[in-house]
Amino acid sequence: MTASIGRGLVLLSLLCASAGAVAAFAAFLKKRADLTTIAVRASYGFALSMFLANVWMVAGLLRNDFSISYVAQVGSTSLPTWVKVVSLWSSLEGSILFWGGVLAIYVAVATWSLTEAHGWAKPAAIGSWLVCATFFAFLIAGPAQPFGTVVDVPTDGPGPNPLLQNHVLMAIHPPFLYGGYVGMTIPFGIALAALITGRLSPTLLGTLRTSMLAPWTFLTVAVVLGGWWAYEVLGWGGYWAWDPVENASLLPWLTGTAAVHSAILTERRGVLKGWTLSLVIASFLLTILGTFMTRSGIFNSVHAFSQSDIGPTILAFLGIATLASVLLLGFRVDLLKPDNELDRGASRDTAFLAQNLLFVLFTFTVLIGTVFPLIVEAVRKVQMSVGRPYFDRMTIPIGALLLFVMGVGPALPWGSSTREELKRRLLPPMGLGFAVLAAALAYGIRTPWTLITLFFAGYTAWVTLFEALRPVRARMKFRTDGFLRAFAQDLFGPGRRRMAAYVTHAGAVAAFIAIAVSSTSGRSLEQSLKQGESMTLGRYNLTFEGIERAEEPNRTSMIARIGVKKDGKDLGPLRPMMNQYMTNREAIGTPAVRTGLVEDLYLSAMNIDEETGTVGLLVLINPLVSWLWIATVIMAIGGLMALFSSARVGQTVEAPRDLQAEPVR
Amino acid sequence: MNKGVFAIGLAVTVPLIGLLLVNIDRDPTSISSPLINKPAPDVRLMELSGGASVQLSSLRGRPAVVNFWATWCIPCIQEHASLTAGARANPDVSFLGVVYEDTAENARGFLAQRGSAYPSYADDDGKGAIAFGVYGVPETFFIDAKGTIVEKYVGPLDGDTLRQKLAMARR
Amino acid sequence: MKPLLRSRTSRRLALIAGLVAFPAAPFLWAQEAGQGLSAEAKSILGGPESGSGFDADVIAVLGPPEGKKVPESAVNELAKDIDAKLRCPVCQGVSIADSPSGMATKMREQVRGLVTKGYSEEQIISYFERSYGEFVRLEPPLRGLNVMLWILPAVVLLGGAWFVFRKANQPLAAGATPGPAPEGAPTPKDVDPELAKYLERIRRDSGTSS
Repeated sequence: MTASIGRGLVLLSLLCASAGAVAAFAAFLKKRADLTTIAVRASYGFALSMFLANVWMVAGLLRNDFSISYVAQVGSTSLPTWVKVVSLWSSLEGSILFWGGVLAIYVAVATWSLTEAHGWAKPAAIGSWLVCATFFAFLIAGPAQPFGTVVDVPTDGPGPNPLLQNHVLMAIHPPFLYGGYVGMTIPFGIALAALITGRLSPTLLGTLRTSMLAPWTFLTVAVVLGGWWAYEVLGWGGYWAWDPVENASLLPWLTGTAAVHSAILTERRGVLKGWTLSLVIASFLLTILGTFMTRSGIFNSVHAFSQSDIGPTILAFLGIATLASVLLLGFRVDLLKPDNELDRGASRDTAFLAQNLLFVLFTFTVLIGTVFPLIVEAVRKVQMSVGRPYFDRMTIPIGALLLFVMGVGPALPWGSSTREELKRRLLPPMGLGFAVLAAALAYGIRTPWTLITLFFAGYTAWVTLFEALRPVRARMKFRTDGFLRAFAQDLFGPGRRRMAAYVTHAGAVAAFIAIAVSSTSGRSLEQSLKQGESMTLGRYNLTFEGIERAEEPNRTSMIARIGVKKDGKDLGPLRPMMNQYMTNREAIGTPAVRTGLVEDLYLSAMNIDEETGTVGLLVLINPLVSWLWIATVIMAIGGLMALFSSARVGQTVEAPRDLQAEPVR
Repeated sequence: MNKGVFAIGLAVTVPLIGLLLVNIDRDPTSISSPLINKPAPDVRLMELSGGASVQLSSLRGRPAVVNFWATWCIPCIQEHASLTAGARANPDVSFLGVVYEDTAENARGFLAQRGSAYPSYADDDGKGAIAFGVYGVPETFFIDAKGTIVEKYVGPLDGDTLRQKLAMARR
Repeated sequence: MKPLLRSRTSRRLALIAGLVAFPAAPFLWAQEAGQGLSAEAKSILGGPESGSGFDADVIAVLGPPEGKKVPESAVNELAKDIDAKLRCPVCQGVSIADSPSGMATKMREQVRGLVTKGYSEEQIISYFERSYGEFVRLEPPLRGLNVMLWILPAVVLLGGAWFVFRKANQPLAAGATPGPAPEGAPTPKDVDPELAKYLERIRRDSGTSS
């Protein structure tokens, strides 16, 4: 009975979505506002029923209702409550239901935010969103039905994959990832609406910008959280392996960041309209590609869901959505005429173009590396791999150049400038660049690309700080305000959006530094220790003190207690462990990490042998890794600041009243 | 109608979708062995009792079956009967077992309990498994009299499949 | 400061040279790719040493070692570099350097043994390729179809760069102004010229993000 209620809710959502899509497009084609109203109501109907379906499933998981097929699949009476809740997204069918739930929230908010000012773009956008919603509701109602009725109701279930039960990030990373992925549907719908109506009005553009920033912020956090999770759980000491599914989460972020920047040019100058829309559309299509890669079972990945049948269905949707997008772009983009020309020569406009080019190149390289084994198999019938060495080699130069453009771009003024002005703006930041380079060399870094990246980081850091405070300094100069007052007035006034961008860039600089240093300047040592034996790495001395055991209902853990001393001072023990889950043959290790601001001490027990009393210990010193997590928080703050700031163009600093008759607008 | 947009759009998207479509049934875990029709690796394996060792090249002159197994592997336990029967029915073929990711002690205990018609060997440093390109167990290699691998079979063997593969090795 | 590149032509040539060199940079940077984790010279996981004398199979496949015997202090570093390039067969996409599984550990030991005997990196990788196929190479060799992995991104880079370059150097259409005319701004003669200069700068820079 409970399963059929769930099925009913899903069917209702499918009905609302499909009816609403039809009504919306009919409203647009026939120019009938009453049909728009119906579409809006259907949109809310879809959202409510899909959301309730999610609530119903979580209730079923909490109640251990094994008459529902998904609960029978991943539920278990012996799970802690939080694991029961998060098992909603732990397996394939539930994850699609969760996708629907997040989409429901986005569609409801987005529908609500559309107004009369959007004109006929409103039904066009709603229609586009509801077409996507129809597809996902269809998946849930059909091939990936989680509300199946179980005939012989079992008394207990197997629980979700053990690897998904041992870390709290399981509760945080997927919601953020879906918040990013699913959210790309909204700007996609708006982009289609712009193409369908043949017009990208400032109002629509503002809505597009906002709808792009929310998923971007979520996705930024999600991608790094995924890395953090891998770092804390998998035990090899790194946070990014260029796994196909990891790449899938990165691709829409790359095009999304390019889109956010391209949108700035479109907003400010009315140029690159078609290009911005293409990037937005590409971001959405890449999320569908990502979903396909994760769920089709044709890619070799540690993150992939188990083999399923929904691959072809998702591919069909991807194909249709892609074709529709290309057709719409091809036929309608010429209607979106630019309002201005791009600045020539060494101008900020050119910097934007260069940045976009680099992001597109980055996206293309990661994409081709990920699918290349499939190409070779199809042509030469031989399996081959494209792994970390290739991706690192290609993306490190691109990343370094992006960091550089992030410094040069904001330093360049809008419009054209004289050679003198260019020198005045572009040369001083090199001072900090050289300072950072010197510090790096003093620290002992010798890897060329790391040094180049750090030089660029110093350069960009200077520009970011200097430019961020430019209006503040101007206020201080003309109003004789103190720094804090000027800063607050800028932040809470018209300057917040601009400040948000620089905050995000500052976070990005920190991230680049963290990635560059942590990937190349770490140290590691692997040694076999008997009880009482010690090993030394850097300033740390590690002693194998003993083996402990921990029994839990779903696993037995063997823990190696390692005493840690730094420069002779006792820091307390660390406990890397090997967990033997009931359902797995090979034990799964959990590393012990001592997080520090300057470096992490990372211990991984490669094997623990009780009989001989030895442990194979892998010790890593990872510098600046925590900077990456901190940097992401900063970037997220920047994203939120941008989201909650005015989208009005052309705000300026009010001139001091005693110097001028009227305020400048 | 913007021809450039169409050109670039279709040039990028059609090959990508087409590639995924062509590969829709791809199983990323099934890797074909490069050793088919190549000489069998000449590794040295230790006897389970810890005594002598055997160099694989010494088996040349007769067809051979090399079966990688482990006591924790359920399909290996299932195929043990077929392999034992096969060894007895085909005295002209050398049968060898190689223990994979398991202790000699476990293997000896298993064989003492279940009986065996052919010797099994330890591979403690994994050189045998690595040389044969083993991904997991059970994997069985069929080698002809000249020492060339003619077939690799992944999964538990039943009597019929064993007979069929042996015929290939005898050719 | 005297400008280095006077004429437009020489600037363009420099830009083209830079763009061509850029795709080549990864090849020049061959050493630094991937891990680059430095290591102390200590023993690694205990385990059976690589047998007495040369393995018959290794000799049969590789022949004699191409390199010289490697001193103990350099073995770890070299072995780590090679580990990063070999794919763990029983894992999902990680190198044997990063995998804790039993097979990966044994492969690492074997790599170490071969390095100690003086086998070169290419020899060692080809030894594993003999057993596991091309699949085990994490970095695709530069032969045949694989060159597309480098050519296609280069095409995108050069094509895109040419496009950006063209846009940035297109002559302005007659009468078109690059920047938007500021609306309602007082003309400079209404206000203090010092202020006007700063206001103009602020107007152009602040407001919407950078």
